[in-house]
Amino acid sequence: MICKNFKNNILNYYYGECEPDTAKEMQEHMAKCKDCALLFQQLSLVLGSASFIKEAAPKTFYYTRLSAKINNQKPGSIYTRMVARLAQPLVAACLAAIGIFIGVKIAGSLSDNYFVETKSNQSEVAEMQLADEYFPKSGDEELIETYYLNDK
Amino acid sequence: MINSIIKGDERAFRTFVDKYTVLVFRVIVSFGIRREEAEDLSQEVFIDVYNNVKKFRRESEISTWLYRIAINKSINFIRKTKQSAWTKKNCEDISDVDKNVQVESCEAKFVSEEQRVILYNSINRLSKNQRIAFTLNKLDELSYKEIAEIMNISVSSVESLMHRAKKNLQKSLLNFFK
Repeated sequence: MICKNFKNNILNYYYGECEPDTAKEMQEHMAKCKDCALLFQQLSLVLGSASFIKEAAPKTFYYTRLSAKINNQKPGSIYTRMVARLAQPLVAACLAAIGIFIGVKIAGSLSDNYFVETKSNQSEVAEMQLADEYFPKSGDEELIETYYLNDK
Repeated sequence: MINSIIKGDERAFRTFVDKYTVLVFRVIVSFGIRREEAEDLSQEVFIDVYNNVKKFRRESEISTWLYRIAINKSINFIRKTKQSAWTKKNCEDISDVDKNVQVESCEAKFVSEEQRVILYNSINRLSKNQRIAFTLNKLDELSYKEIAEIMNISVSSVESLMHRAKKNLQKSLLNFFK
């Protein structure tokens, strides 16, 4: 057996689920290959670390604590469920309403700003037009030199 | 016993709890959940049974029903907390809990906890069904038939899940020791 085959069968070998011939070959390989023997040892420790489950047990007075929990949930259980059932959609509806209200407010203030801005822009344009009419543009005005020449 | 519990016989419920406490507790612990949390979860299992015993259809054994509730609670707990208890982060807490239970030298305890971390990190990489099948078979020592009943699948499906689980776990562990 080569190391690759050994590694392919290592978990089945640990759990004793290999064919007898394969198991024998695995043992022979470990006797020859120190690396694979060490690997199997490490893997056995990891897989064997779950053995604590067999000893696991809850602390004493388990039932006392359990019955206390059951008694605590007993009177309030229906009431709590009712409140939760009613409160959840109400809270959701309130949040949605608040969201819509805030959205409308923000949108309103934005459009007001736009209106004020456009209004002020319009008045600025009108003022500019008036100014243009009052003060002729550079192309319209007559040069002073020309005026003097003409006069002469 | 179930009829008595339905009728509200507290003594019957106590007998029921005493009979199945260790079973439920060990199933939850086998999913890599810390002892303290496992106790709370196991109590939740019995509270569920107490509240819903009328819904029990008697199509399966009561232990099968208990296993199902315990497994669902464990998987949901792991999903909620995003990790099992056996991570390096929680090692110190676990050693505190174990202090009262196991009499081991500190060094040996640290080594065994390291190994549990490696094992549960590898198990948690398996898919949900592979993890359930592997945990129930190799850690809780249930037969394929019992697992098939609990998971509500055929025995051949359990065999297939176990085959894939072992292959994936082997790959994961070999990568770790590379």
